[in-house]
Amino acid sequence: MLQERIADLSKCVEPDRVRREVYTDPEIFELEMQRIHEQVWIYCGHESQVPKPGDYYTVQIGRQPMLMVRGAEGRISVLYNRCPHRGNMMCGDRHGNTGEFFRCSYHAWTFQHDGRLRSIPMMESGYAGTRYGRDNPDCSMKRAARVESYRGFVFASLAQGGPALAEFLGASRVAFDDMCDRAPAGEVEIVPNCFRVIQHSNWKIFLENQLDALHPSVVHQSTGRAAHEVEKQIEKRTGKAPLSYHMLSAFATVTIDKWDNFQTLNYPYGHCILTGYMGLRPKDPDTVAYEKTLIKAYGKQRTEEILAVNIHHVLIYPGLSVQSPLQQLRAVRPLGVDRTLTEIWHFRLKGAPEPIYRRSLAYYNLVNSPATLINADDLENFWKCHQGLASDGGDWVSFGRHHGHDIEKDGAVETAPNCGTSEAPMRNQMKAWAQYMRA
Amino acid sequence: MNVEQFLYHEARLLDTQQYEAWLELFTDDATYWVPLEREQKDPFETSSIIHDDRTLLGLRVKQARHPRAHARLPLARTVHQVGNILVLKENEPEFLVASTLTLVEFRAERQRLWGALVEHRLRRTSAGLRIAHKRVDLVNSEGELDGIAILL
Repeated sequence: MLQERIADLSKCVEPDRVRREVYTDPEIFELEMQRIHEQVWIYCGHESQVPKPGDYYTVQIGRQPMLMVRGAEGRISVLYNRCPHRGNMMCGDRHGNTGEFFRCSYHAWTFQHDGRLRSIPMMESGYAGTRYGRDNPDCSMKRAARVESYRGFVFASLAQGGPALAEFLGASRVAFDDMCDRAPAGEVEIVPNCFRVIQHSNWKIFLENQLDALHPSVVHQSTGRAAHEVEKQIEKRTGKAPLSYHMLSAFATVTIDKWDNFQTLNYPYGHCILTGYMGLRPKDPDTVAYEKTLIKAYGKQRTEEILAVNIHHVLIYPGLSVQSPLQQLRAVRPLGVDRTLTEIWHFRLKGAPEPIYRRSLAYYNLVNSPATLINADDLENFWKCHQGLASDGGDWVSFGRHHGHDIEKDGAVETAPNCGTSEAPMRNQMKAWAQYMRA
Repeated sequence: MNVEQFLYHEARLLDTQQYEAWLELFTDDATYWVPLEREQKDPFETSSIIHDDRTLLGLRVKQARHPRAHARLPLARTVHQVGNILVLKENEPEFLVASTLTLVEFRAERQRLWGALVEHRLRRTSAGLRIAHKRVDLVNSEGELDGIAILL
């Protein structure tokens, strides 16, 4: 049965549609973890999450529990969270500081921050003449095959082969450039702790939603309308409503035809960009003060270039969705065929005035918290989507919107003008999926 | 109405889905906070699950009544079980009151259980007791969370 399905995987994806089993079959999910998530570059975290030697953060890559740790000499390692002795989990807390070395809570084997065996209790008497000891690499904590970072964002790959990080990211690097460039100091800093939201749906459903420009006007209409009414009331009363209301009301006031003015750009490896931006360059005193700090750091011309970068979302397939102008990202951790964890992080622009941080924090809370008016409705639809796919009512999931109007240019696929709601990003993701799964 | 009766009244309004009447219990300058971190000191050092002023709280209620509020149609049925009520500080006209909340929620064939430590800063006004600040510390605030489409 399994063999037959694997052989048939290529038939699951057509240019404008995908078989529903791709989302619901547990065996396909296992294969995805092997052939995609445990091969490619997966985002682990930001360097500022582990500022001091011994600081660590646990992270899931595919099915592997890993940890990202800062060594004494400052280098960051990504290790399997497992003692090589009897398999005990090394760090039980989600994050913390391990001190000068890791120490297993079971038999006190200790390891350096880079995973190398440091000591075993009474090693000489206990292991003389055995194959175990410092010279045996199997006695060290296993490391991720490759670790690289880009502008402070750390990625790991569990496979030796494959493109280097910069090549893998390609044009999607703009996500990190745009986020960091908007900081007067040229870098960002993590806001400690993230939302950890469970989706009762397949991981691909979330990624496909991220650049789906048609859904906001439908899914978030209720919030957009309510926010629009409140925004008008506050404006009448005080002359100016806080920007957070505008960010919410935009879900209703940016109509479908306006979303069509945006553009999607689709790249190799499944990465996609949605350009266009919800008009978030206001002229209030906070923004003006912030732009002054940018001009001081970069000069007028460069500042204009930085602020002109016009991105709504960057999707780095298969595990990351970045909203760079709002300093936030969502890392996708598939837990099972119908269960996905998203870790949603917020960043501070180093050197920017405090009100800019507070404003993006307000937006981040309002949109991403599991209790928000936005995310809760998305979660409801992801769940319903996965439930519906169990039905024999149809075999295919369709990605046909504006199909046939994509323009190939320099190795990328652009949507034609006024096709911002195109399903080209979903087609691009599934194209990459099929390539990975063919391996 | 004494403090204990007031908290039961608040819970009753939520469980009978009288959200507009519940909103009226808050003062105009009220804040409503569900921190993300245990012992979080302020709503700005890190993120919050909810950090609303009275206007945003009103927006929540308004959205819940919209015919296309997908996660709230139908509204979940809830039981807010309020216990361990303790007046921590009396400083007329305000009181700081601690309580615990056990919340049972049912919606879409799923029953869920929530637990939280709660603090109310209540203010005695000419209209009776009102909530000036409410803080809800979910025991699993830092855990993996499902969507929360109910009022705590």
